[in-house]
Amino acid sequence: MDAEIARAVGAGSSAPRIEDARLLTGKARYVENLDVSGCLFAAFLRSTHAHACIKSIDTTRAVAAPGVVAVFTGVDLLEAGVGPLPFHEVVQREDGGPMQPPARLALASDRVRFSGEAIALVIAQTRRAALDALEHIQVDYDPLPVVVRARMAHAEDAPLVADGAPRNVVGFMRIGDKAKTDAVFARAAHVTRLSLTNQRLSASPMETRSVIASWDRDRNRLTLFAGNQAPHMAREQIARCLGIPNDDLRIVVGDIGGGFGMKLVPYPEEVALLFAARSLKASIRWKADRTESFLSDTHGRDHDTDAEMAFDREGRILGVRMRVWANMGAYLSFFGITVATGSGNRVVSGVYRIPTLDVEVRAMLTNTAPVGPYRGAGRPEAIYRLERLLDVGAAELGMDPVTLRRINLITPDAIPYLANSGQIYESGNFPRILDQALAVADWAGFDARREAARARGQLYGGGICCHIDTTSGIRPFEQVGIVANALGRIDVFSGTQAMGQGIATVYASMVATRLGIPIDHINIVQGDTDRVPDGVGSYGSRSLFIGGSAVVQATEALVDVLRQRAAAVLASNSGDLIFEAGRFAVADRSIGIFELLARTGGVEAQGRHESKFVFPNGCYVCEAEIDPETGVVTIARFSGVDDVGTVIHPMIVHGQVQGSIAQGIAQALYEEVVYDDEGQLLSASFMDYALPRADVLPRLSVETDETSICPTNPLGAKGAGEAGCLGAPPAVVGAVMDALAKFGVRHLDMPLTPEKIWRAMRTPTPACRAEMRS
Amino acid sequence: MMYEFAYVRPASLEDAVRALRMHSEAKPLAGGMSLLSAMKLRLAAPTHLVDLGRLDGLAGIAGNNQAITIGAMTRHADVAASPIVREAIPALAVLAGDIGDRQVRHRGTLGGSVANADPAACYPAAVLGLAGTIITDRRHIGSDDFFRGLYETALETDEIVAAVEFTRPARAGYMKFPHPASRFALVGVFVAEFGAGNVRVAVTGAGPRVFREARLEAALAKEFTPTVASAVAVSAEGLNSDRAASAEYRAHLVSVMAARAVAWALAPTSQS
Ligand SMILES: Cc1cc2nc3c(=O)[nH]c(=O)nc-3n(C[C@H](O)[C@H](O)[C@H](O)COP(=O)(O)OP(=O)(O)OC[C@H]3O[C@@H](n4cnc5c(N)ncnc54)[C@H](O)[C@@H]3O)c2cc1C
Repeated sequence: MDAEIARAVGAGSSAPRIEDARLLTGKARYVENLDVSGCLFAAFLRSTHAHACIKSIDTTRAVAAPGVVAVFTGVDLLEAGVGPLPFHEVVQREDGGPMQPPARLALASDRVRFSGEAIALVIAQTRRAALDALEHIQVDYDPLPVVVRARMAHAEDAPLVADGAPRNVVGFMRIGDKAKTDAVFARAAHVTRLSLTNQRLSASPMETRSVIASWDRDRNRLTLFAGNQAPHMAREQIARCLGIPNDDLRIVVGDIGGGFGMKLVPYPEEVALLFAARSLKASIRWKADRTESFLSDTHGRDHDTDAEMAFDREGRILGVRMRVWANMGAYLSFFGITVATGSGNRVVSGVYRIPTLDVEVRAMLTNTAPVGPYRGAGRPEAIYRLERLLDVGAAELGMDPVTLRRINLITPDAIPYLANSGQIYESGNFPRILDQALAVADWAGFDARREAARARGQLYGGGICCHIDTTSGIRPFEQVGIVANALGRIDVFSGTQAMGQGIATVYASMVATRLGIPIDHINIVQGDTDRVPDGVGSYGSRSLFIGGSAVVQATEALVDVLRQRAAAVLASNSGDLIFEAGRFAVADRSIGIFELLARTGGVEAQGRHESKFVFPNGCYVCEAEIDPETGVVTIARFSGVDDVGTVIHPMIVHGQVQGSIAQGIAQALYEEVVYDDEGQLLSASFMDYALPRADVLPRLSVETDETSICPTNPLGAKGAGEAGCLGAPPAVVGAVMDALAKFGVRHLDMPLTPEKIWRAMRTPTPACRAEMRS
Repeated sequence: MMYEFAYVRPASLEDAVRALRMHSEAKPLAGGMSLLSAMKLRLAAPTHLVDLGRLDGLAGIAGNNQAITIGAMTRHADVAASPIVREAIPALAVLAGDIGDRQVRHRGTLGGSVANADPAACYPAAVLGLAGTIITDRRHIGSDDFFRGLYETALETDEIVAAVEFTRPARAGYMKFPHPASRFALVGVFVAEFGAGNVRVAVTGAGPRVFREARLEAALAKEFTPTVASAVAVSAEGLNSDRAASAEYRAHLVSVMAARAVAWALAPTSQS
């Protein structure tokens, strides 16, 4: 990396967000706000069973209902040759054969595999007519046995979700060296064992999924207006499903009211609506209501794990063994399996020296909604199990959890470090980050705060987490076009996709600063597969360090062309020109960019950046207080340090860190998607699904450290969008378990609800009872 | 999205009752915070909504030495801010000020809450705890006879709550343990002492309807202190058991919240 480049694009200063005036005054272009004339309205009939054969579907009365234009079922799609939704073929089955997940049709035709799966689509003149007609469709189900939990789905006698997945294992992944690990465990001084669950979560964006599928009569092709985070990728996947060339589908995004990875994958509803729009040569609107969103959005996490860590006498880690059952839901969403077998495993050994490991991940089918990427996508699960093992291990070894971590950290002299996940940690100084986090947290004052809390009758504990993220994900490139016209307007075209983060602000301020011109000349174009020729999208914290790096490359290319032109105009050698504050100068002659453009005409330039995986990291410290009468947890303090490489826009970085920590705290304490044993969703509204509110979140003191900038991109940035979701849950859970230590509690699964904690306090373990007797 | 319905806005209580009588599937509309949500979810489908919003006589707060009377259409925010309520029964003002969010408090009404009889609502605990009287267009109903079951009251289908009269206690307190998601009462306990030996304890959220806890009442009648309340083992029998809390945990919370409500009654702290 080049400190000069970061400086030239204005790293470290926070330009005001250019999106906000629009977003905060009701001028956002969410799909529901788009004024597409003459739209019909759609409603989906959803399965009330979690697993059943569909014996028959009778739509006669619905077709005849007032205002109804058409009713489609899975058979209509099959007959028209609409294919199943694609999935990412990244691993194989446990027996080495190719994965055979159940074909996911946009409308289920003969079998439903989760409650909420779409079965029929009604198109009507009004939304109400469409909803009313749903009640006239008769579905005759033949119920099948149901399995909901990943671990249970692996049992010999568990009901099978699909024929192609023996014992419900749809895909399998092994990392490490089993024999070596077995040997290490056999001679270890101590082995810590833990079974844990990383619970299922709902992304819960403010804007639920919303679609307009439209037939373009003039050009005989389809347009999909939808809040997709990666429109170019979605176009390819959906076009394949519809059996049409990419060019026959345009995707237009507009603004997205929160995505968190959930809006990264293509959805069955989109395919069905496009099919209907093509059949009817019409424009059709649909928006998920909140219950539909809970039922049919991809969920996140949901891993059951048996985790083991072997230590020597001094507490050094000798090896790790993990058996993971990752719940995929009933079908593979496009990246469902990637989360479990790819992204998380790149940080499987965290920031620690782990000489050998043996990890098996089984991707399990169950009768639940498909799981997909959700902020962190696999890395929160990986970091959580390691950090929990270290906390429990420390207690068992009688060591301080900070010390145990410190002696196992990868030291800076070993960087770049080849982890036994096969990944190379390109930069980082983990001990330094740990020390700084302890300083920011005033860890030295912890004992006094604990005493003060005890004096108030409260339980008090501290927890720590050293996390490492891996950003970029698949397709690690972005292509950016930049077009400056003769009037001085500069359009920047990027395939990355804003969903509230402020991408436009950062791109525009980098270009404006580098060119030395006011920011209002820059126009960032995203989210339209017609206007943006190529790109990938926004996920995996990649927009800045990949997309932004491409913007920087394109800007440099633009400057180079302009420099040639300026040299000609100023009758000089281009190498002699100095470019500063928007002017090219040599000796006493100079010309500004705008004059140059006016005199010589518009310019186009391209930039491309392709990245390796990058590893942002950090350390969080949490202090939690527990009300011993009720079990209620209050986060007393939350502090830490993040290494996200160069901080280009501090305000946006801190916003990302805050948001992801809030989601991480929420996972630790509140959120959980729950299905009953029949596969019915019990958490289908915000009356049941507990999102955090501002009043339960502490003031965060989280700082950034910029001493280990990223060497593999021109900005030195690493990505800042997700680390909080990795680091916060272990830190919070660690703090609560520390507060409960005197009751002999080793581990409780998230979310740490008051009742769970109350029960743990009431039912001391046998060991604890013995201690209390003595 | 709701089913279709007709909207009626009567100008007098008599007209409102007449409208309800005319259409068997008609429902009064107060703040709409509960009713409209149920309609949007298609859980309720009245053919007619009879809007009580223009019945000015139904809103307002008046008090004397014995009681305060609050009109059915009085908004939660107005109860919370009322100098009369804050002076006479501060616990009631605090209760109203902690219902839902700001929007809900400015739309939702006392009458709507009482008529709705949500098993987790806050107001029913105050009505029962303060030996309230429900005044309707046709009669007075004592609070002990009013709350019948899950969303079930003594009201006839065409009967409209006009006001609720609350007895002034010597002191009172309300403590709510909020549901983690909805923030309705997972358990809410209203305690009121009306002079020597006369204590009422009303519990909401814990059972299928608001109810009085006899053991707590008896213990607190002897000695009105938090310690006494904490020492009462509340039975879990008949209490709600769901994903948010088991009956056993709810029973435990009843005595904890009762103790805290007593402590508050003895030394009221901040009012919202
Ligand atoms: C987000 C949210 C959070 C909430 N949190 C809480 C909370 O923490 N605690 C709590 O107690 N409540 C809570 N509520 C409920 C709130 O207090 C409602 O306002 C109240 O329950 C209903 O009052 P309303 O005026 O809105 O009645 P409506 O919704 O208009 O009516 C409710 C029912 O009562 C009937 N009705 C209304 N007025 C009369 C009348 N005068 N006579 C006869 N029948 C009548 C209606 O026909 C309907 O059946 C919450 C609501 C929301 C939306």
